[in-house]
Amino acid sequence: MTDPSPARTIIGIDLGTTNSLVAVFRDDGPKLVPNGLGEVLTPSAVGYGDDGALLVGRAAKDRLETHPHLTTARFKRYMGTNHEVKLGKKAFRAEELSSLVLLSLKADAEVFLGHSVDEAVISVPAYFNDNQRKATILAAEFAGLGVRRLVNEPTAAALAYGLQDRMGESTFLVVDLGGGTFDVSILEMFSGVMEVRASAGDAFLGGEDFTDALADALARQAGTTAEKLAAGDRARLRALADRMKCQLAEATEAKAEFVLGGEAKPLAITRDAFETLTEPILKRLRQPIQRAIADASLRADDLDRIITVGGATRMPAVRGLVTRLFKRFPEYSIDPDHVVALGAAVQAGLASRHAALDDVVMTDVCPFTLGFETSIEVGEGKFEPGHFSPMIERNTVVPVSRSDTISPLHAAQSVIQLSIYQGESPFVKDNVKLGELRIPLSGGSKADKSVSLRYTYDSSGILEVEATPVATGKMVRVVIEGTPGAIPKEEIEARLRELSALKIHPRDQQENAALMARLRKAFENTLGDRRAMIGRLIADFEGVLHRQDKRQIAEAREQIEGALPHLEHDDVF
Amino acid sequence: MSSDAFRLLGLDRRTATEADVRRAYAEKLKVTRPEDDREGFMALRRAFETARETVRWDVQDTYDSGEDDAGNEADAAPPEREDYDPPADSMDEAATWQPPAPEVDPVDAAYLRLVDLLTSPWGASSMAALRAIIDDDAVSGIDEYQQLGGELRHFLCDRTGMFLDGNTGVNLPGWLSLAVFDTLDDHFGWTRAQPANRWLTRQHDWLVKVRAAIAGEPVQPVAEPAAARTDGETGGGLVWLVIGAAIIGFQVIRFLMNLGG
Repeated sequence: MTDPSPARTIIGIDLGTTNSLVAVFRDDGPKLVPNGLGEVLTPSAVGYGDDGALLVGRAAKDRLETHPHLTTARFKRYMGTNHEVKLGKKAFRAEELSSLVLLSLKADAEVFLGHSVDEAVISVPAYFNDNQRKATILAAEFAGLGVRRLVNEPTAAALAYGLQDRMGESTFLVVDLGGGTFDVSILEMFSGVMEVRASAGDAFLGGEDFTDALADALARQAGTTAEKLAAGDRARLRALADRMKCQLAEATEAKAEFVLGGEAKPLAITRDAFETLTEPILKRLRQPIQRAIADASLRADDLDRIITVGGATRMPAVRGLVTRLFKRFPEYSIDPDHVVALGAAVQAGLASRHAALDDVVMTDVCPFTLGFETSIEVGEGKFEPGHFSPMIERNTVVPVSRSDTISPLHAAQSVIQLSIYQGESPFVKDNVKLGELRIPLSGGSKADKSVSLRYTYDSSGILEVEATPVATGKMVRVVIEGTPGAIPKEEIEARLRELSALKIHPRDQQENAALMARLRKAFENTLGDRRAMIGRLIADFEGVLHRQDKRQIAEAREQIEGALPHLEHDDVF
Repeated sequence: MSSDAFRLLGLDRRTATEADVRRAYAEKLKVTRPEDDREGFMALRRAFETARETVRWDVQDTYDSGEDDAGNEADAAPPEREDYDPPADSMDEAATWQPPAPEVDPVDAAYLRLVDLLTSPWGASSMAALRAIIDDDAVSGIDEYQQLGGELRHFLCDRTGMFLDGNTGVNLPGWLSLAVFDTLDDHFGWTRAQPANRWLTRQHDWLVKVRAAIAGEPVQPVAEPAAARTDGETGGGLVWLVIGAAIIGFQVIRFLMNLGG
């Protein structure tokens, strides 16, 4: 079908809440692409640098602590909503911030491949709704990337694992706890076919919630509350909480010092205390797992493999819960932070019909029920609106198309205003509204006013709704009007113009920016002599940067990188 | 209908097994990829699902109820084909089959302990005791949780009058306090769950009503402050409250009399 010439590589992207990655599919399998700093994890953080140019990645993440008003992270949680984040004077939507991360990943892939890239497969949480998926596609467009398809994160992970034994027969369950989202998928593999049987999840549950809970507890230990802290202090405390959380995955206790108001406050937490603290969050993991298994009509014993992916599954409490639920230890032979990106690259290889994947096919399901609002007759000519009428049941294999015939409530009606919803509740108020379709009807009260309605759900999880009045045969397609989270077309163009006018920090200077941000952060987190020495390093480095001699800058960088680990407060121990 | 499905898969309806159906689907799928040929894929998928369903029915018909099939039996309805004739040996096997281990099933044990605790005539159940039973490791595995949750849900629906002939409203037993309900519901997630079948949906909807009935009950003093939460109902609500209170009072008296007798 498509031209498989090597110059048209499709890249695979894991656009995460905390970190993002890009990978490409090669003859010998998926490969992660390093960023300008030589790392494969690019923090999903964006901010303005001192020179007014935008920084993406680690530099921005470090500047969250020193420049909280100019920097932001965790914006994936706002995808598909109208929430805007202010950086300095300019407000950004989540799509725009995501597009800056995508732009940076795209540049990394282009350097790695040696040619330009214009198409990508992007992973999204399986439980992302239609609005959130469309926002992801828009973010890619802003970054000059066409989305060949969206792939569900647990499905991508399963692809990466399934490739190891592609002709085997097995049923496995993937538990994917990322920074901000939680997904569970059950897959069946036979003769090279990877079939998703069921997916369930929670789009607002992830490792970041554990960090928030810990940060709140640490604030109380420091004799204050997280809300009372100034933005910069709060960001530093949160970063500290994150490091302590990671420490607790290895050790049974984490201790730290937090510099607040020129005073070093000792903080400590044991793993047990952390687990008690986060028990309410942990409890929320059970229901989606139970539901996926029930939906696939399986028992826990029927599952051959239990796989955990996502950085948050490194927490012993999460692994402990999974072990207790399934009465066996989960697998994590592929790095839980890398596996989704690797799988997205496999999907990209599938999309570009890579010869090495000739015998592999993957099918996915829609994790939600899709339908529309109907009224139910409650008495003589009396109707009660607000009921949900399903068209495509959840966990149906996609792409799928279903049609049905609907009629207006009253014979005299000249239009049907159809509200499209997604969700599992019998009442639309508890479901997510995806859009509205205005279907004009013609003829008098005697005419045939039935309408043929068709829902089509594609492999990326994007819904298309068409309605054709039987009498006229004139088809209407869905127009999303007034849905929270959808941007009007004119505004998209305006925002794209604004985005392309933004000055982005050059990739070859990323290392300098990241090092400077690290120095600044270290300065804020230390006291006394060490602080003074870091201050001197900053002044020296600024001086060298000013001279713009590449060789000198590289030397200075090397020296500082050598000295910094001794000076940085090893605040977690 | 199903013969078309087998033709599309290139199989013989009379001899094909489920393994054949899967193999044929897998082969066709590699040349009918969902991303390249949407219509073709959708037709193939329909054929696969129809054929798989058909061979599964056949298996249901002819297979003796050996261990391979034991798990599926609960899910599948009995075959409805006219020529259905239960194989003689399956009857024998069913009659002589013995449970492998005589030890008490942990779910059954937990269920009985819970029912005892809940309906104990010696006053309200302690939440700690309740939690100790449901949080027990022996019943926290995926399958055990599912089973215990299902049995308890059925018990609650039954005791609140869901299955009474011509039932019109929720019947609240005296022991069912808001704290008890919320502790169980928080653990098993009934009122938050999104069940896949209509029968379960009915039970879940019923439990939502039960909770509303308990929460709106002023006669029953409940320890938890959550009881202060009221529903937005006005006017007629009060009348129902009085009626509800009367029903509960009656139930309590009847329950106590049963105990005495």
